[in-house]
Amino acid sequence: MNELEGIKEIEEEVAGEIKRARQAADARINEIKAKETQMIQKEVGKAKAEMEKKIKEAEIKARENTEKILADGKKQITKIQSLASKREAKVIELIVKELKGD
Amino acid sequence: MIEIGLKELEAKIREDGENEIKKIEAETKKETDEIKKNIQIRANAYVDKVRREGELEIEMVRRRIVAEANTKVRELINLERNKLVDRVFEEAKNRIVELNDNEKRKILKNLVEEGKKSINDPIILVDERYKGLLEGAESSKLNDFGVIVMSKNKKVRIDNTLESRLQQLKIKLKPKVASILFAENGKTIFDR
Repeated sequence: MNELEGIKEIEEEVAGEIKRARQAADARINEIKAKETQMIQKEVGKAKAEMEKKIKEAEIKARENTEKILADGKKQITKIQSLASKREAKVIELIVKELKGD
Repeated sequence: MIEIGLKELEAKIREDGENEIKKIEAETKKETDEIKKNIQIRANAYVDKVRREGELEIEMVRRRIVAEANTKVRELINLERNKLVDRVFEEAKNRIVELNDNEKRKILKNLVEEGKKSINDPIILVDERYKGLLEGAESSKLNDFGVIVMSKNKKVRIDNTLESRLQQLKIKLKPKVASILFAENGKTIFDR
């Protein structure tokens, strides 16, 4: 009878261990599921930070490139000033002719 | 004999228990791996979306900055062109005031004739400085070269003073003046 009780105790002990193993497994699964949003947010947050950095870098680079556009613009202004200076006499002549009715 | 049987039974129970626990752990690992994999797939989808939107934003930022710079250059060039056109008209005004009397007379007569197209038998007002250049005109303090052509009843008045005519000519001749001043290989820089 004692041997049978001993077996029963072992069975209960093993059943308890299995039960705890199942509970631990469920807890582990629930823990991971609960962290899903957090894990996704973390990844997305990293990606957002990375893209913001890239956008700032692109902005700085684009602004550097605009210096060339502005420099080209200044060259064009110098050019039209030079052209106008050489040709203004012709325009003045045109205006005087208009006023004279020629 | 029974004792050996019990010990074997005990070992079997423990072994079965351990196997069951191992099975639970293996299944749990498989399930958590699957959950993690799905989370990673979803996270990757969100991350891809963030990156795609970021790349679009980068392209928009680049385009906006370049467009702003081009607009600024265009504005500066147009401003300069307008200044140069204004300067030429100012120069023209100075040149006209410095013309000899014969040439001034010719201009005054033309300004009167232009006025007469709209007013029959008008009164002609001319600044007192130029009274001697235009026969029949009344002297007035116009403080400008040119004439004012006015109907006898003074209801219709045409301002043909130099300042006024130059303003009109600036509008009328602007394309032509711009073409003369700025044309290059048949094209005007930043034609408007």
